[in-house]
Amino acid sequence: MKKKLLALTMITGLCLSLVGCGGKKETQDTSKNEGKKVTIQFMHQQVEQERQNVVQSIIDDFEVENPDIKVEQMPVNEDDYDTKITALGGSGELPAIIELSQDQAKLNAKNQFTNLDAVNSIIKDKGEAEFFDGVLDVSKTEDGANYVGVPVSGWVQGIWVNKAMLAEKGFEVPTNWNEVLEIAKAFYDPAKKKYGIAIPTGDVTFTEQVFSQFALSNGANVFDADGNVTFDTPEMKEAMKYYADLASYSMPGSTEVPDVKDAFVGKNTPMALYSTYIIGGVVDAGFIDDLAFVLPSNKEAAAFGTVTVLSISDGMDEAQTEAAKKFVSFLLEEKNNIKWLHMAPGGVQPVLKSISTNEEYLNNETIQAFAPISADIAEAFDNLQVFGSVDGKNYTAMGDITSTGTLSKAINNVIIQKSDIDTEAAKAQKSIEDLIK
Amino acid sequence: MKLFKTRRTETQFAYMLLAPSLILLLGLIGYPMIYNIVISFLKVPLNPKMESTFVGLDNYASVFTDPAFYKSVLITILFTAIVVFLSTALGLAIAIFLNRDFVGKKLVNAIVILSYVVPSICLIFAWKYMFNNIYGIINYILVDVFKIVDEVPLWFDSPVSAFILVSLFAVWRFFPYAYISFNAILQSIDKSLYEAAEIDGANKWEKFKAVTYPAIKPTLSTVVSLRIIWVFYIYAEVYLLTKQVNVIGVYLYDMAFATHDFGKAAAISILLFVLIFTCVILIRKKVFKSDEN
Repeated sequence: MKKKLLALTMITGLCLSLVGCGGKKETQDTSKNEGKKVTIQFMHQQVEQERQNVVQSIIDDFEVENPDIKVEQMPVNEDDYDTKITALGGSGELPAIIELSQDQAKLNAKNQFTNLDAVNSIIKDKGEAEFFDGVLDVSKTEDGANYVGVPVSGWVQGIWVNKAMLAEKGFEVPTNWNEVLEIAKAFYDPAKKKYGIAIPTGDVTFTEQVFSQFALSNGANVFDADGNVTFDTPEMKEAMKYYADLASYSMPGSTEVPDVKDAFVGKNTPMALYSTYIIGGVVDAGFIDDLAFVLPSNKEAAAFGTVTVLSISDGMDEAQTEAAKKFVSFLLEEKNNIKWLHMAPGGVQPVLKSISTNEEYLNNETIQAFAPISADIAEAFDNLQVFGSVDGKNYTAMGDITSTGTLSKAINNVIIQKSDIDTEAAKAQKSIEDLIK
Repeated sequence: MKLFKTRRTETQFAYMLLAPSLILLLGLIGYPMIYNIVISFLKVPLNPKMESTFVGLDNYASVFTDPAFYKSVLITILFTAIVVFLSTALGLAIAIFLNRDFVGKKLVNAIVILSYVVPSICLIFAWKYMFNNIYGIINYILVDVFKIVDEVPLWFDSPVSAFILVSLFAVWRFFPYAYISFNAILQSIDKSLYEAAEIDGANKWEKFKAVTYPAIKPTLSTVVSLRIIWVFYIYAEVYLLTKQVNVIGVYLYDMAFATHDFGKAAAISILLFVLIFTCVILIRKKVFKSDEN
């Protein structure tokens, strides 16, 4: 009898503890609605402690103005970001607000994770005219009727040039493909660890991003206006050939983000294809006055860029959706947007026209240091072009294509594995067609 | 009769006590396994609110008709065989070599297991920097110091050299596990057995065969089985070091997270489960059992 009593007590205890564990979520949910306080989560990639502090200070200011809303920040490392979105999305646990690149946002919109009405209303309330045109163009859904997220900042990528190094060999800042190649050839001296240009060649997204600028400047895109895959075209193959030629004057092997940045900042090369995030490194290296920024230009000039958007997740209750809308709108207010941009001065660029000329924004040591070329950088937003964006249409399948690494693999195979351009272009064309079936 | 009744009550009592744990285990292990089998017959959208479509055996057919899958399985089998054999042999050899008393033994032990206790990501980046094409120390020694080669070898870009390097990395990373396991069991072997063998005129190899091997065999079997399972599904170490060695873990990751084809990824995982389960059972039964007989 005693044994039975003991067993009963133990089992009851265990069951209660299990029920206790299982009920945790419910308890949390109840607390969320206590006193009608709404809790929302904000997932972002600002994992560095200083940046988290800035985000927290924005949240604190917001909570003072909105005492009925609590915002929890959820910093996630860039490398784990896509996996996290997939895992959270797959389990229906996406946070209310997610910081995304326009490609990731397109993928989320395609998977119906985004509340497009909420996003549209924030942009409309702010005023579409407030944003740079190029920024809104790449943030649209495939049919052009909606936006995949609310742009808050962005970065552009182009050719960074060390004018002083160029002058040593009597060169001017290049203005077209041929001049870039000519300079690269003149500076290439691998025995002395000197390279003509630093470009990525690894099987990584960065390679696709940089290559896209050359392809787009040659009039080649992954899709045409009718949605047909156009990777295996003479223009694209010409761009691949040019990129391979250029890579022969770059560093050996598969190169990625750190290799390109280190080579340029370390003055191993006078030119590098990189984003505005290189500015901080150049300031530290002490040659910001020698810095110039140009875009790859052949048939036209093409800047690659990523617009950072905030998406609002679908499927939340009304109170949470409204709270998320309020917070995103709050981030678009001048004072808060400037705080956000100053997290990585120079690296992230304003997407709101008014901010780019705002004194408070410009009043920053790093931003002032590159003031002479800031107009060139701002202009790049007008030339912003990305693969999959053609004649006002944004093909959301581009997010899937980038995610599979089809294009970076093709480029890597041509340059590193010495594969034939025709073969790789045909292979990539087929892979893309199979993927979007 | 009373004794039988008491035993039955005690058994029931034991099951009652075990029941919560069993239910918990079933929930944590059984449910995901069954769910995995279910989704292998579905086309699963990323968004759980969207409807999944029943596709029958399409996911399995797609796996069986994908040449990349077979290539990946073959690479994985070769990689697993090399890494399991070398890491176990190296761990055993070092454990035997260090199975004696000497000054600084604890320090040596700590150094030996260093590669196993340091987080993978630190080791991976150390190797990537060592073999970096531009400023790597290996190329510096080969090209600039000793001038053994004229051109920088692209270590992680060539499929063959990348495979060799990744295998070496895995052996170096995992051998301490075998070392720790064998070190513990070797210390429990009675020294008099070696003395007796020596009196009988046994050489080192014969002493190993007659004394050491029978003692370590159960541990060896466990180490090999576990290592096969772990190495077969290796992902992070390979993926972060190179994109040229497409082991099954990388292939699976690409399916699930790059192409978001969860149905096909589930089908692959089930096929691999069958493959690896059969493989481990066969090795344990045929290799270790027959030897025992």
